[in-house]
Amino acid sequence: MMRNFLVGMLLIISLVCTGCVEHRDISDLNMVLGAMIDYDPQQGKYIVYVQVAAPGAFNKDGGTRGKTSFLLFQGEGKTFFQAIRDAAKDSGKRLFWAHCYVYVITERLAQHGFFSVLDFLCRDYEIRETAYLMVTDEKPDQFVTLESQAENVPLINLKVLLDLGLKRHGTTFPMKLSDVFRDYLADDSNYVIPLVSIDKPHLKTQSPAVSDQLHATRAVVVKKDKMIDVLSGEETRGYLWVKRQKTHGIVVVKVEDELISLEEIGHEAKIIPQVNQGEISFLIELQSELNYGEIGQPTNIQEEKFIQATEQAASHVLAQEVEKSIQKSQEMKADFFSLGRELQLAYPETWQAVQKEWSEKVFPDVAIKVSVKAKIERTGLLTFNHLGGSESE
Amino acid sequence: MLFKRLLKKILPSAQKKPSVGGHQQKQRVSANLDKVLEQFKQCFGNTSDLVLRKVVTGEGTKPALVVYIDNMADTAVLNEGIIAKLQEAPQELVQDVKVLSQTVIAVAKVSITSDFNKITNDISYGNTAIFLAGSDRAIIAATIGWKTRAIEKSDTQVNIEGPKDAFVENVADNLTLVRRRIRDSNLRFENMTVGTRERARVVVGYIEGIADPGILAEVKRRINTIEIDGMFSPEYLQEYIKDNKWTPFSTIMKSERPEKIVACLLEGRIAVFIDNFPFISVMPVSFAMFLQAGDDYYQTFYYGSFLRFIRYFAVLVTLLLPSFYIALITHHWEMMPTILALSILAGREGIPFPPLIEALAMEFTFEILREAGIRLPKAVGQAVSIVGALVIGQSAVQAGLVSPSIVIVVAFTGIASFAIPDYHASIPMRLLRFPLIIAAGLLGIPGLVGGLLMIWGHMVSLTSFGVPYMAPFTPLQVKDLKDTIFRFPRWAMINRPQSVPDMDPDRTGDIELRPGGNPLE
Repeated sequence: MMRNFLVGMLLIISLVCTGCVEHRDISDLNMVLGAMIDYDPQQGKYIVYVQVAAPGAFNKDGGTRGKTSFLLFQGEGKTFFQAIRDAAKDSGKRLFWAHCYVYVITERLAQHGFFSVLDFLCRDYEIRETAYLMVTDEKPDQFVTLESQAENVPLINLKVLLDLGLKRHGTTFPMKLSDVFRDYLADDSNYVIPLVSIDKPHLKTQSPAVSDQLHATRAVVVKKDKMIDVLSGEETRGYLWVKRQKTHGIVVVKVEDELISLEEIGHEAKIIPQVNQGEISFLIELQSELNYGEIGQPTNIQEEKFIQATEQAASHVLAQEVEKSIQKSQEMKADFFSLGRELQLAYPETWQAVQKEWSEKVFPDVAIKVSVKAKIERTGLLTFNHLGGSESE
Repeated sequence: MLFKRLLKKILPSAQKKPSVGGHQQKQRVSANLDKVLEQFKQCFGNTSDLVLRKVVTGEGTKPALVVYIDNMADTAVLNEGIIAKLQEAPQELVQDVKVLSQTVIAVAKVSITSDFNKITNDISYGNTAIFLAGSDRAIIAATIGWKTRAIEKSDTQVNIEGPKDAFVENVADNLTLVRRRIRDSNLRFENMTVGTRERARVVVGYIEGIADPGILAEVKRRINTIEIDGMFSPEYLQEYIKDNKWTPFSTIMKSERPEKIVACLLEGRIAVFIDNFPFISVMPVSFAMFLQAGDDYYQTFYYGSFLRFIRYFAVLVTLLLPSFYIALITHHWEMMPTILALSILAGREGIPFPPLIEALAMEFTFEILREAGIRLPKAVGQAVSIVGALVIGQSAVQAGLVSPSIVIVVAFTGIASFAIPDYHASIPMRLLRFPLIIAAGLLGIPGLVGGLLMIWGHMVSLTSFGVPYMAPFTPLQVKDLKDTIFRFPRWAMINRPQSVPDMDPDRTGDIELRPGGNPLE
């Protein structure tokens, strides 16, 4: 009993004495909340900009520091890691990365190839693999200094923009570091990463309420670790209709010469690879549930005929959008729909044969059929086209 | 080895000392009143409160001696029931003590003895001895009548609804409070005496046919082994008789509320009443019982269960919140939500002390405030709350000496410790949170979990009179869980707790009703 006690005490003391127990305090940290990574091809160096929360900014009293709500540190180096440590030279406190959810890479880094960045981000223990990766076509000096009215630290805003964008308009989507790494390691590595930019206000006014805003729509297509092209907003949505299940975008269709807005409330997409005597083809089936959002003219929407016409028109619009996106991917010779992966799962032997030249030679000419079944599920709060008119009486 | 030798020096040696006063020579009552006086002089010395009243009875023929202790005996009974009667008694009734006790003495309870030691003993309880010249036996009349406190509301275990009466110092009143609630003739109160000088009346209460005889015998055996001069507190009793003598946890429960004791008796537990103390001990108990309060049963079982949830949560908060906070802000910054981390960071800006020191100091301050609040005279009570709340809570934060987050943590921990209904359940939690804070400060969450494992391991190893302390959680007794984190409706709990051995597991079973039950029925 006595001996056990002494041994236990010695063990505890030895733990404390080794210095394993580093005294650290949360106030000795600079929390990195967003990072932008640039690459200068002429000089061959990486440039890192980190946005750090200014301690006073989160204090209810307004804090003891100046007015800025965030601090900006900059680092340069021949490698990405070197650049990060270079940024620490400016920071009086340790840069702490675990709360950083936003990593933005510039277009020229994306074009040069960002493998080393991705590798570091996934290898380092402090960085969360659930953080979002995105590309911007803006210049760093404008992008990282842009102040946001929504968040103290502007780059945090991008996370919200991506999450919300997928559900509200469907032309952007969140892409986690782990997702990027998974897609990079796939056999046929073609994928998309969301693109963010700055939106200039349309209103010409001096009001402080109106200012430049961060903006998330569109996506870039990446082959391995190099960006090859940009998808427009609509093409991005065409891609998301097929690949993501939670796109709640607005579909505008023309029925009886009037425009109708339909809101997608649920959908299911299936990619069915088919091999017929060595001939590879794909069938993309899309089932879409829609809700009347807005109708252009007084119509009794309980009429079967009208509903059928709407469904037909919606199917057509959706199919067109997806087809356009697929066409683009075939033109780019980049199978970012991962049709190849579906083929690999369903017909492993066939895949073995075409794997090497899939994106370059086989995929651009493959027949892809899109079949969309749109269904009107709800009509909003109104079951008729009018509010308490004479027809219902 | 050093520690062991030190312990040996501090703790009393097991070697038995010859007991004092226990085995006095048996003295008999003398027939000569002068000799009796002499005996009392020898026994009590010249203490001023012993009254030796000489009376002449039998129409002036027979001297008698009335002995009692001033104020311990009821003067009205003495005057009218004994002295007046003796003075008026006719000659033929005063020849024999037996006849005298049956005819003249108008007191409810009398006995006759020739044992002088028994007489001195009874006198010190407030009884009166009557000696008759020429008789070698004496009458002892029950005249206990000292001043007692009236039965009042409970101050320490407060309930919203439920009976308002609480135990008092007088053990006889306390027995009545229980007897009034259990009219079963199987309710037993067994007298024992503890304390060589105090000779405290200790009463073991149980219900025959429910309480387990083995546990009952063990309780009595352990009480009998106590050797001490005075038993002033149930905690003395507890320290002597509990299973693990070194644990900070209470394995015997104390209550001021009669209905709680009654509920325990009906579950097959055993109550120990100690004279001059308004808290009644109950054994065996489990930890879950300390988190039960009367209000759980006086309100709907939904609300009762909700209250239980709150209390179990409060226990965890009291024990863990400060150490968890320390672990997070010194080691695991990534575990907090980002915005929370930022606001804590903002609050900690420019604080001169590291979080561990800050937390220990603040917790210590809170304990001092609490102790000061209990101890100080009521008239200056406001001073503590003003100084405590304003100076420590507000000024220290404004001056930038402590961070606002630690004040919130300490305050919440303190409030949570008050939500634990039994004072004795919150004490170990309050004590153990200090080592946990240090462990968390040094090793983060691994340290916290290690400390918690040690505490939990200790708790499951405890027993209370052989009954596992953590029952019904460990060992798991699913049926007993009905009265732990949830409070099931009463009709669902028709069985007595399985964790307590008892003779009659079914609460609904008929008992044999003896004749002469309730006269009103």
